[in-house]
Amino acid sequence: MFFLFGILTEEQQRFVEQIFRKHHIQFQRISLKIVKSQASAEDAVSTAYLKIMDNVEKYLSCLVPK
Amino acid sequence: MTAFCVTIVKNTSIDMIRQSKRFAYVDTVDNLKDELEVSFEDDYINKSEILRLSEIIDMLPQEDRLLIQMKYVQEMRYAEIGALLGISEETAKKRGQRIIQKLKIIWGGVIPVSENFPEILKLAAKLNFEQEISKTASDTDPSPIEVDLDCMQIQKLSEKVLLLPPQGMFVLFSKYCFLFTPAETELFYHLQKAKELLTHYRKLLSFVVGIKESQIISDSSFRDACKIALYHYLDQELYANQHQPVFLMSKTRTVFRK
Repeated sequence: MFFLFGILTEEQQRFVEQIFRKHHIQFQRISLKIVKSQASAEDAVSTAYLKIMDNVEKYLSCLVPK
Repeated sequence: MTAFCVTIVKNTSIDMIRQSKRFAYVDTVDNLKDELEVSFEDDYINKSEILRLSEIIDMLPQEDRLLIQMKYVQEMRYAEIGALLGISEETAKKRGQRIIQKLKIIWGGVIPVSENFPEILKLAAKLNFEQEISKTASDTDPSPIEVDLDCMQIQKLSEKVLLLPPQGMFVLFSKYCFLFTPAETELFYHLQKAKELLTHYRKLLSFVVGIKESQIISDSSFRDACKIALYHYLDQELYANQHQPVFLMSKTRTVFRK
């Protein structure tokens, strides 16, 4: 995850950081509600961050209005 | 943004359960879904998803946003939308599907969108419309430049007025033909935010007849167009069986009292 974060552009890094700061606890709670285990919830949220980083470029490009 | 990430977290967690199969009492993912539907978290997620989708709609170009509003707020059919925009029903439908597809991609990312997406889209479009008309009322930007139309354009505008949903015709006829105040319009037609709605429909019609975004059709041109439109409307009322244009086929059409 650390290496993947390193290859993101500054804008993408800011975007991911913003998500982490604002919503990390909320994500843990949502995941915990589903998987019912602290360890699994942490794994799931980590995997979710990887997916978010993997798609951040696509997501940000879609946000730019014509 | 939140809903996009929450969806990913939610789906990743469900995938984790599927892979580990540690919880034997969960028969299917549907059961899990049912259980979650009544939870506080799910309620929060749904609200944030609607809000998020509303923000995405707000970022769409004006023409796309207006089409979504016409389809999901005014509940117009594609035939009616096409007639108003001066395009065929098929083109309007394709354009609508393209916008919906675009929204699904931005909203859901790589995760398949949930089955209740149409419902969320409808609520998000309504929320976006509410916010837009409220923003119009408190807009601190300078007023758009008013432009007068020539005779041909006024004629075209009068035709477009008749293609609006009933609510749009009500507010325009009230203002320009019956000289009602917004308060009187609200009282008479049981509407809310008549002034804001009037501004919205003025902007919509200005866009439809090809006026620049920073400009708006003048009151005098609207007055002339609405008078012509009302004349044609009453004419159609009197000879309703002879000719049935698109606007008279509207399922939501409400008849004015002659």
